[in-house]
Amino acid sequence: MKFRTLLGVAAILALTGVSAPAADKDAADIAVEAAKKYAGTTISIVWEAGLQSLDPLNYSGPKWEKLTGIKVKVVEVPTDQMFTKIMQDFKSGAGAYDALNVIPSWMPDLAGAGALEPLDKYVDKFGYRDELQDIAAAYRDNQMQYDGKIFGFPDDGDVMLLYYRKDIFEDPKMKEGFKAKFGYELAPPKDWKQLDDIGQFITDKMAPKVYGAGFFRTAPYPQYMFQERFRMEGGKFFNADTMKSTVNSDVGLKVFKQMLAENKFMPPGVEQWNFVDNLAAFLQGTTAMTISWPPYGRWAAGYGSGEEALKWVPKSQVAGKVGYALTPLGRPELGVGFDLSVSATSKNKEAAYLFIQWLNSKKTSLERVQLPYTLRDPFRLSHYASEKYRALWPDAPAYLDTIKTSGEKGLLDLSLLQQDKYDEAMTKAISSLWAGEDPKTILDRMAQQFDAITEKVGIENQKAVYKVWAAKPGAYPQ
Amino acid sequence: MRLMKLPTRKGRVLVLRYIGAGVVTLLFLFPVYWLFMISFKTPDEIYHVPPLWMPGQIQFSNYYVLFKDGDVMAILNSLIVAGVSSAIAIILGTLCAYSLARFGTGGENLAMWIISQRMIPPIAVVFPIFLIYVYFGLVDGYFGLIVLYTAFNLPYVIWMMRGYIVDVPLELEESALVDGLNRWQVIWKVVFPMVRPGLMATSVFTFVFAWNDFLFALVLTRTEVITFPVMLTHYFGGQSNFWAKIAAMSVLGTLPIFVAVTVMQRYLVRGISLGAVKG
Repeated sequence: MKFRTLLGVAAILALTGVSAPAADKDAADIAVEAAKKYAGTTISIVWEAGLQSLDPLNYSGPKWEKLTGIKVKVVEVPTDQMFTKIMQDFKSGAGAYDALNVIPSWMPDLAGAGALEPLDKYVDKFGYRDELQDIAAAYRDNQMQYDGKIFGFPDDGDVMLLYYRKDIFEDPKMKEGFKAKFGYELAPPKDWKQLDDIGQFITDKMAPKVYGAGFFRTAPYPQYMFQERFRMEGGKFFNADTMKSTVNSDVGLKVFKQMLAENKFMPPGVEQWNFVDNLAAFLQGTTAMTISWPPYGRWAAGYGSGEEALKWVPKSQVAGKVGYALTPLGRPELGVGFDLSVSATSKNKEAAYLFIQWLNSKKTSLERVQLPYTLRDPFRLSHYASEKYRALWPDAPAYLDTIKTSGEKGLLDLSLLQQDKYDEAMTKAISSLWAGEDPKTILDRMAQQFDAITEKVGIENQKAVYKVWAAKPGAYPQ
Repeated sequence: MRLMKLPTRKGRVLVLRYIGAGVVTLLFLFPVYWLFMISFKTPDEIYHVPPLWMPGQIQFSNYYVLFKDGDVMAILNSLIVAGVSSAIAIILGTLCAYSLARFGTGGENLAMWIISQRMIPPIAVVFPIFLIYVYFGLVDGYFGLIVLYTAFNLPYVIWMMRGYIVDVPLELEESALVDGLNRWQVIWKVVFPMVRPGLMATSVFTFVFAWNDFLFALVLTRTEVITFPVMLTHYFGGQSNFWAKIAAMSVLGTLPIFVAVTVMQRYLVRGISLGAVKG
């Protein structure tokens, strides 16, 4: 053997020898190994109160402690107080929180204020960049960075899905009757007119036992539906040149009138329904269609029904009868979502980072999105493709495929400086709509409130943020 | 056969009054009834359409979960902070009130100035207090909340107790002093028994204030000293509402107040009416 060949072989062996352990280690293992030096410390993480927090309380927190010796203290905060608590901690310099759950639309406020730690250096140091590529593009490209830097790891594949009762939609009598009346097949609605036709038809035939549809209507949920529908009908939130709000356009009026009219074929009192009321009605078989986040699909299939933590969910009467589809017009809202971030005032930044890398990693996140009681929805390509997940219930493949497609086509929540105030204006407007106020008056008032917020933030500042947001592929339908 | 005697006009008015009072009472008690019923229902019963007036069977699993998961610690935390702060406020406040009432400490206007402190809207001071607490490391601890509730309750206690103490005949105290009691003994043996109804009424109100406070407890606690009202908010998630836990916890959280008011009812009525005629 020639010397050069020998040298080559030796080099290959050396390289394989050296790199083999590294190649074997995934981001979760790397995080665990690196975190062991912090054994004995305690890190805190802000998590949404309620069911969400059972993940770190019952599963990931104890597991992380077992693997690394780092104790995780979970600070449970109701969603509507999370932003305030995080900012309050940052402004006071208390440094009480190490890791955070952050709603992506808050990113301009939080990252802009310096409340979040830039994560790029940690991502490189702990070899996480490759695994980030596995996160579905809708979340990775839109919800991870601010001003070109990584401030959070998308950790929840929130997207709206349409759920419908297959047994009703496939009933020969219903199909025949529907086609005779409307001239097209009874199938998941492709647009809002079809949803009206189908909803009214089922209500006429089956109410009060089953109504055509039921949606959540109380704050803050319907504003996500409004954002989606408004844009899909051609609406723009602002004039990009002047930053004057244009929500009170004819499109806004059309959407408001449509939303109001739909209530007529929904169960009485639907205006007061929140997430759980709507869920209960669908699981008990009272409504034939609904639109909501992915947990509805899992729970409707009866997944996790034996879990102690899910005892508050009524038993599904519709398991095996639920179909999944894109929302009408085919571009569902990527409503809310969660990012995992590190607080800029944390005293344990690296330990906090390692915890969120481990949580968010391919391996750990796949386990977490399969926990029946957590509300983390699949958000990685590997989640959608997971054979284990696809075998969880008979319709799980269709469920995962619909989530994947919905995510790819999803529309982003509006995300500006002081976004919480715009959200509040939308929420109040929709409440006024259910209360019976004139839609045009409500929209004019909402536009005025938008303008007032924009002026307070500074028109030029907001224009710059809006420009960045509006340029994203998921901001407005192309 | 003797005909039944028709009630007089006065009697009819009385019957109508009783009916009216009964209707109003039922109206006010209905939410309490509903709360209790939900706390005994299963999830399917909670979401049943139409709503069920009664659970199929009384079951305590909603309460059991609160004990199993340790959520009842929030009740204990509330008892500690509300109980200790009320006790301190009552002791300190009564002594201050005695000084104001008997020695005219601070002149005519001090009492009014003190009660004016109670009129400050909590929201106006909560964040400055938070910053001070962060600086001194008092956030998320019993001590911080007890100090705060004591400070907020003191003006009320001083104001109320001053009124009650002024009502105590000065001659009684003077006689006791002549009989050889010192000032502390006079307060303990003469004044305290005389103002007991007022003291009890004031104690109940200070306890209720601390028990029900949400704003300060929300801002000044994180994980260690979660109080009952803050704990309740943990059951409202963006995508989950634990109605069974909310109802069971609300019942547990209502009980201490219910017991306190029931036990002290006779003092309460007298105490409030005593306070009503003196400023």
